[in-house]
Amino acid sequence: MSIGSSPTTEPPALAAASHEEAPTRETLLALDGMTVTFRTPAGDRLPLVREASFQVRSGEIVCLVGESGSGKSVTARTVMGLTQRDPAMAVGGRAEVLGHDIVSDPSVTAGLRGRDLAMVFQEPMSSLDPVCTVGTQLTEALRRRHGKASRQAERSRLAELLAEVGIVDGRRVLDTYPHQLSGGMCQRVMIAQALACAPRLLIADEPTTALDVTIQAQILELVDRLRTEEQMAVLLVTHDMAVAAELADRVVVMYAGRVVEDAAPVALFDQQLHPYTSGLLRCIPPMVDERPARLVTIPGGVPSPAALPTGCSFHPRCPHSVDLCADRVPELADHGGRRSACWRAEELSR
Amino acid sequence: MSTTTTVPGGDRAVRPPTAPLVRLDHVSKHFTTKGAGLFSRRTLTAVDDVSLDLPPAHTFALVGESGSGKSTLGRLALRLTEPSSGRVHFEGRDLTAMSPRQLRRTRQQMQVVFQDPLGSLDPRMSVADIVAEPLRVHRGLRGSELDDRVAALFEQVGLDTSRMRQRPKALSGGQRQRVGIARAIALEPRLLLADEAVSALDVSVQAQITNLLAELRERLGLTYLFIAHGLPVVRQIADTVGVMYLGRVVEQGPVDEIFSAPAHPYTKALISAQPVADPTYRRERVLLQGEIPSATAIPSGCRFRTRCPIATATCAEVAPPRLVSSTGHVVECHYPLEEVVA
Amino acid sequence: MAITTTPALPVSLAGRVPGLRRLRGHSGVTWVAAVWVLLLLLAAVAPGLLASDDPTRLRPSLVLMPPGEGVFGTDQYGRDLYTLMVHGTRSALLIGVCSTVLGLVVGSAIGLVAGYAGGWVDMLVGRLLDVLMAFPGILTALLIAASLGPSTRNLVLAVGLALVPVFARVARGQVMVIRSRLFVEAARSNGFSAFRILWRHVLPNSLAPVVVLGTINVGTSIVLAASLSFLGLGPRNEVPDWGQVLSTGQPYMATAWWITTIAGLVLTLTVIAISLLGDSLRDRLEV
Repeated sequence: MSIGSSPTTEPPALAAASHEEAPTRETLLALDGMTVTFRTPAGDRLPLVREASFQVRSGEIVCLVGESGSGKSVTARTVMGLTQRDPAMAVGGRAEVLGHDIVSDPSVTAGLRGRDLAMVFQEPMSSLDPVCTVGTQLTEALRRRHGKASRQAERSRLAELLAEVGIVDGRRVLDTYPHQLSGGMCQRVMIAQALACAPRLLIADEPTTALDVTIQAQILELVDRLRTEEQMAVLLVTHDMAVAAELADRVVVMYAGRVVEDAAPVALFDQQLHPYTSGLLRCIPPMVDERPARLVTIPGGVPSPAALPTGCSFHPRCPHSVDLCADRVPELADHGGRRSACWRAEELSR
Repeated sequence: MSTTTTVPGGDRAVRPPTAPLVRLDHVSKHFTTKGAGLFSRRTLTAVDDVSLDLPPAHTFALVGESGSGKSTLGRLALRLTEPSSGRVHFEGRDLTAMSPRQLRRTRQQMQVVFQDPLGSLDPRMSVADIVAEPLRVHRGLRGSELDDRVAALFEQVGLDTSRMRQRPKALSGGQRQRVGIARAIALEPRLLLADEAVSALDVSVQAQITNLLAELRERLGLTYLFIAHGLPVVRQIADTVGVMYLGRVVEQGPVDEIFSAPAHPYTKALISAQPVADPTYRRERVLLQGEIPSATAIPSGCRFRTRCPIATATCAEVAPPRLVSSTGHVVECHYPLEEVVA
Repeated sequence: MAITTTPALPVSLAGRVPGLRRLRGHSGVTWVAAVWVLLLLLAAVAPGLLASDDPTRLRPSLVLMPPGEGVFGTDQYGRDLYTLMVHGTRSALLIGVCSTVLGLVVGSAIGLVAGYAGGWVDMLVGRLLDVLMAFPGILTALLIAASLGPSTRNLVLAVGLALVPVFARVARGQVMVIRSRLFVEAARSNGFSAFRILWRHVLPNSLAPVVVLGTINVGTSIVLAASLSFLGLGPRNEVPDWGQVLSTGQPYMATAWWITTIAGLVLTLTVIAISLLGDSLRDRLEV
């Protein structure tokens, strides 16, 4: 695997001009040809993430979008230093979190977590300690960042935090145990816990997938505000293109472990430079426009990492594939401020 | 049975008045749950005095947040759950008065497609056996006759017949859901309850299954009771939408009216909270405060008043009137956002 | 719905002992286990083929001889231990397997009905099982054996019935898990009869842990039966089974270690072999 030959080692220029007024953006997460492989009990090496390259900078929300099996969650978990705990997993390439190399030393994330790095998972129930009250767990998070303060000051700060995530009776919730709360409540407590340490980089893996749209709207609103007000950097993993459309500064689309397209949302939703992205967008029933009689679908399903097609992994499902697509893997190439890994990107965009 | 061709667009709601296939008549369901004390019991109202009609060859979608009672209502419509009060009629016959034997026979006419396709398939049976079982039990089919029918069903739901001998585990999520659908339509039912049938699937698979359901509806004249929390799918497939909140259908009407001109503040909030896959789309977003109250302590007057942005003192005291328009748009609100003739 | 606690599922012996877990999945080990069980079956069907001596021949001159005299040595009556073990196989396996099967079938049936029916049926059966479980199995078996009188059939009955609560418990817990699974609900919404749902869907999916428990129990039953025989509640057979060898050899442990050791070793190997076969069976069944 030649990382050096990749044309995208340079930070991709942002297509959206909206962020140019803030030139002091700092790169907090940088992946460069990161690969994650899983060794099966039989000894086979399955590629889960293949040469992922993208960056997240302060004050920026990057949405990592894809279907199950795309490698988006594995990417997020590797960045958090979690996949490395599994001895069957091997991480290669380059990945820097807050300036620390996590490929050579995954343990650095442990020191960063709860201070500059925070994460939110899809399953809130399993991430909260069932035998501690919400207050105890949040206080812990608060102290990790700000040190010990008076009990009263801590409680009022926590109630404020809970109010920010849409929990109105925060003081009561502080004295409850996780099992007394609904899933939506727990998820918001998790997010409050992540925010208690005022992280510079937040990694959220499908944080709102299990929630109702009304609660999702509250939480996305909050994340949006923290990005703008606190210059927080967010890597948001989601399967929902609509969420990405609403929130993202950049959308990174993954398919079968590989980044296939990376662009600012306005440009991406206007014109896709990868047929998979177009297919994915056409699958979503419209909320505003005229309903089609039938939805346009992508035939077949996502390939398993054990049986990846040759060349471009998407070619068997692609309506535009040519012989070249089955032979050679397309590089993630720059197309004027956005990237696409499709042999026919230029041709199809014309 | 009259077959209705479904045309995309506004004229879906206009259809001749027919006898409903399913009629819910003041149906309620209460559950008793453990209270705070050792012996205290609390009553949870999952469905509260709901009456509605499902016309034949029609798709009725129930939407609402979790805890709104939409799943319980779906199960009540098939009498998979016993109602605490009220009656359920299917083809004009009272399901609630049927003997277990009669009910089992009638059940052949109403089938369920579940959210979790893997969990709803017996892991020890081949997918062909799963699809064949209802035919074997209720139709007494055997041998080549059975095999032909199962193969035909596989074809109908777009499943490769080479997969027939496999166990559910060996199939992908979309294929499993196709097996679930094949089993559901094996006995040529009239009613299909789709309980979050596409919610757990990947976006591209969701579109495939949504299309399949629409296709089967047209080909077989099926009636769907479609329960979902994903609004775009509901807009795509439904003829009529019922919006549930704390056990009641607070608004109900033709799909286009509900989405373009919601009359209940809750419906409006629900729709405005749904992200739209268009970064240039701007809208007035109604952010609801907090979450749905507990079904053990339903607010007085209008049950939505605690989260409603336009609630007044009246809403806390008086239950809202039920307003019905000529297009069949029903709303229960003191201050409907759109003109609905009482 | 009341919160019901399900008893911990029994793990097979091979799953519980860390060293043995590594043996699992090794097809070679499974083959060794299979060969051992086949040998036992051969010994049970035609003991004369493996040991041509008369097991009942007493040799006062060769009492308590260590291994070397014969293969395994002799017992306190001068009988050849190897011959005894081979000829005792039939009775040991008969008692172990039959009583386990009895306990398994009756226990699973009770557990199946109680777990599926729920409500007051389950309540009643559950409490009754609690009462039975409060006594050690040996006590229950003792009571039954004493009231029925000594014979092989009654010994099987006593041991089997003593096992019923254990199997019923596990089966009930498993059924309650399976009952709430979606595919059972799907079968119900399909209008299938309760009997069909129980027989075709709930039972096959609940059986695996019960069968695994059964494989462990074969050995336990052999030992339990031996204890009863030791107390004089077993059959008066001319040829002692393994349990009887084990228990009658106990007083001589200090002077003639080989009697109990050999009998115990054979018993242990049999239990492990059956357990390993049970495991591979379970894997084959994709549980």
